[in-house]
Amino acid sequence: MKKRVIIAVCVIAAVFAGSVAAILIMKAYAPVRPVAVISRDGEVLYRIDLANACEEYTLTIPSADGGFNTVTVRSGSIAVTDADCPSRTCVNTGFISDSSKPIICIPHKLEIRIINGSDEIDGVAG
Amino acid sequence: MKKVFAAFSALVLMCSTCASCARTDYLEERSHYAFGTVITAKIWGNPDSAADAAEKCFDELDRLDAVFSANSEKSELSRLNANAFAAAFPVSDELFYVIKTSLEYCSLSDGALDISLGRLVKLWAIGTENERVPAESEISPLLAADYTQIELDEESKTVHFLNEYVQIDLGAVAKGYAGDRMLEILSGCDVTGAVISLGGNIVAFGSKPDGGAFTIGVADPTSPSTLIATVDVSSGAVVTSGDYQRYFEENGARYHHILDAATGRPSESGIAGVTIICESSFEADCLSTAVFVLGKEKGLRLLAGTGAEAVIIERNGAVSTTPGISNCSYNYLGGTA
Repeated sequence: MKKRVIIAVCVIAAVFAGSVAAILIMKAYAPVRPVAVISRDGEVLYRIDLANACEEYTLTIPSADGGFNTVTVRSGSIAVTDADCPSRTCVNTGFISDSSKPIICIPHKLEIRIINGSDEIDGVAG
Repeated sequence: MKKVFAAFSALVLMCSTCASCARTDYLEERSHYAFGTVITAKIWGNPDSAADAAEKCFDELDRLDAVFSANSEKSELSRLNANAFAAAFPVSDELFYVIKTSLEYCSLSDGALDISLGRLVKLWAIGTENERVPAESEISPLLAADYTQIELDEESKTVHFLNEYVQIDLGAVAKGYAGDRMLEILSGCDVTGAVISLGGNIVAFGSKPDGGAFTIGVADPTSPSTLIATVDVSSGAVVTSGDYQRYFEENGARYHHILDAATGRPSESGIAGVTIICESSFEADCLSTAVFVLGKEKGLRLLAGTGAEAVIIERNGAVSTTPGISNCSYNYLGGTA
């Protein structure tokens, strides 16, 4: 009786440990799939899997004040390529492909941020 | 037998629950709008503590924005600006501290940083829909204002403007002070690490889940989406002042937002971007503006007495650093130079 209990406990423990190890390994080797999150005034408008963007395309995002930002999506990267904001800082930021720096259009309260990208850089001063 | 299985199951459940509670590598990523810019926060810790820390940080930023905003008529700073020429105006301990500390850096930099230029800032209106190149006749009278005409009384905590053209604008320093408040809040939360970007002003707290320092990129002023260098920081600040952050162009000329008190026009020191690395975000913000206006030679002399490190990128592409920059694991990636 005692022997059977010990075997049962060992089997359950082995299955539990194996499951934990499998989850950790899958997490470590999971392919990086950058996702662009486009928000306006804090509200998420789009989540775009950039790994799936085989062909380049554009989105026009209207702002609350009647303006616009044109967003261009490519495989692995995203940019604001046109806008009618005064400084066009968002356009000048160019294409981004990782989470180190978001694209920000302050007049239109638009933010494009990449999550699940390469995380070698934790932030960008500038 | 049943008792043994029940006990074992309870043990497994308890271990799983404890592991979830004790998890410290969870990353909470949030963004928020304050100080006229987008704030992004990456906070590591257990899920509940990281989310709670993000909320506390954003609440504090909203509170500070309501104190320091030059654009909101209801802010404490706006009320000060409306009344402090007529008579000494009492302010909160916090606003008094920020003005007093800023004035110390104005003096240290011999006016390269000058918080008294509120009227000039509004005249140029750079980064707003009203931005324009003002006539010289509009600029000249406002040159009468400078930081020495802001009088403080420590005992009564009052501020008095000695010149009618003085208006305080804390745009060059308020995000820096806010960064230090973020560090204070994070140190009181049960989190292991954080990187908060206040519109490009970076504050870092603690360490990454692997125990290492945070790697912060320095944007290339000629191509801000690319990096010219990286530095490593644990708890501290990395703050950049650059001519590419807010500007407009007219007749082929670029007019950026960092004004020189001596001319009333965008600074023409030859610098495109200055990045300061030091413990205090407030100090880094003050120094980055001061060095930008002073230019490379005078700027490096100013920094020599501060303990702050810096990366200075000139318009001609030359890159200079302070002697101790290697302490920050400085890594030049190439680019402008």
